[in-house]
Amino acid sequence: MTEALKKLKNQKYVGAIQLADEAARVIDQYVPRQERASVTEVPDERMVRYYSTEGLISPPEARQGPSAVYGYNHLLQLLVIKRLQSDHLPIRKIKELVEGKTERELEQLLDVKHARHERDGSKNAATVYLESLLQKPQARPTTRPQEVEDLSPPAASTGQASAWARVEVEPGLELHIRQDYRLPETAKDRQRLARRMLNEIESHGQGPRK
Amino acid sequence: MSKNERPEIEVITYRPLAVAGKEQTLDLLIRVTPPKLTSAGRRRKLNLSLALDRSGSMEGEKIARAREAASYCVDQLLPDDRVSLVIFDDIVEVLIPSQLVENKEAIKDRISRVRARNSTALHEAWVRSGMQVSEHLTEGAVNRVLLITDGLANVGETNVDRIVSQAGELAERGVSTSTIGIGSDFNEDLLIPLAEHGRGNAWHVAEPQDMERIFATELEGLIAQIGHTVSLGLSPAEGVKIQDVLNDFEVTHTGRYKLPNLLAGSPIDVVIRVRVPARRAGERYKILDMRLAWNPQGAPSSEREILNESVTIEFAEAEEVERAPQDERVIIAAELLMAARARREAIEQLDRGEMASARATIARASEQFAEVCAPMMAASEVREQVVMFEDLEADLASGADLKMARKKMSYQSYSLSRQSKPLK
Repeated sequence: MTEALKKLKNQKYVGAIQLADEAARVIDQYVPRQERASVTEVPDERMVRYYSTEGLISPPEARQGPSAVYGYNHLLQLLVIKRLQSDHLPIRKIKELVEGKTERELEQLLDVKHARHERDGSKNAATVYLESLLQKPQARPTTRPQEVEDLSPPAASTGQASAWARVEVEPGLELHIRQDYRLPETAKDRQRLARRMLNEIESHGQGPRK
Repeated sequence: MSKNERPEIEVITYRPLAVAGKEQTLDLLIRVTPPKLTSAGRRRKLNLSLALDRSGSMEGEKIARAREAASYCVDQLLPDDRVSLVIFDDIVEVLIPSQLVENKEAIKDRISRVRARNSTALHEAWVRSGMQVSEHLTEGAVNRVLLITDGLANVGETNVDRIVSQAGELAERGVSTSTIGIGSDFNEDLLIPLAEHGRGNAWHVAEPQDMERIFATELEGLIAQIGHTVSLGLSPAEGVKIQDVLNDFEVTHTGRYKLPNLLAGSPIDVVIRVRVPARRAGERYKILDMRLAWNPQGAPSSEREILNESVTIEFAEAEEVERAPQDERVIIAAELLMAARARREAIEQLDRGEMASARATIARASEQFAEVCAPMMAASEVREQVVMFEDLEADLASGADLKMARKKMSYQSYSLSRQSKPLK
């Protein structure tokens, strides 16, 4: 658990608004931002009331006049709910997961290191590959050669050093080959590759010799 | 897949004996039969993303049928499957982020509100859809993107070769791609290779009302998939020569043939033509070693299963060979593959603008097929093929819709060569 959250251990919140505000203040540290949110991410007072009536947030510790008094446990519950929602779990499922959980268990559900690890650190090869496709410029600017970008090692490479060999194919044309590069298996795919290389050369304005 | 759930390889020859004393050519039907699903009622988890084209040309019945088919698809899923929906025109939108199929009505409600508009950012939609799957990549599940389009990629990455090779790269990383082309305006030279390299299936929906049936077939295949990255190695004995592999499979760098995915209970038929040297009567002669390799569904990608078998032929005097029973399955399988080849030839001719040659190629192939297979009309695949040829001849003769005729030929030759059930 991070120090930031521990500091809040003895805080009391008078009323749903205070609790929601506190959660909203710290939520970014514990709940990953969604690219395209399908649920509201920032907790508000209305949510606190709703989750209370649905039994996702346990009853207040005490009452102070007309207001309910909430504590650390409620804050954790609220953050965990938002965190699980960001994983697209339905309310019914979240209720099962949150109900009857101790402070310690809630902290674990919210464990930041774990959350960030899942989201970024251990992105699988398929996701890393697809992200690299999205980052590629779609229209190729003629002023900025594509190679500059392609030569840098992939952002999420598994830590192995990437050595590049540089080969002059003929005067004016060089190939850069990374150590772990392997040619495609089939003749068809190799032809495809050859075509792509020719396209690349042509797209840099290098027409055939006169 | 446990050890006793391995596929079986059966090698069928027209006659069980070969004629002694002369060199000869034999057709071998190599039938790879994956086991049936044993654990009834329990199936593999699915992790699906539908990428649905909602560009302007989808307007009307196409988008309506696509919505219905997508909803049908959701209805078939189980609560621990995952599904997501990406819709695209020139803008790509993740309408339903990947989620467990726990509230079917809510998902279907969102699908029902998809409307058609604008142009086609096919590539980005495929990538986004892939990410919906990859971010929840599930070991043991079938992780697949299903791309549904009626148009050409005309926004973003449009280079066919690049998109196709990316689909291969993604399949290497555990996410496969199937494609559904609707109507006659999409590019089959993109969608078929995309599915082939993506290790999924390519489907053509000529009529919008066929959509649901095709979704059903795709889903059945997903549930039944028990192995992928299948290869078949063939090592002929000394003096034996493989003259032809009629399926025209792609070949790996180690010279093995790339076979389609293993689907429970669906055999893959491979037909090869071998030249065998002369042997004496009564001699048994091993002509071929075979090596089938595949990745069982759900196992780590390094765990490859291998099955080795060999083919032995017995030689006898001509009279005895003639008295031996005949197995027509070999003839049918070989003729269907030749019929697929004829279509590929006709497509090349069409592309060169040689309309008359294309017509003649199909007419000739149709005639040959009908002649050779005349005694085998009891087999439904033979009758189906005769009808398909008649339809093709009519399409080419009228010349009215060449785009559609080309698509039919592409998809028919694709499914015939893989021996998956050809679409009517």
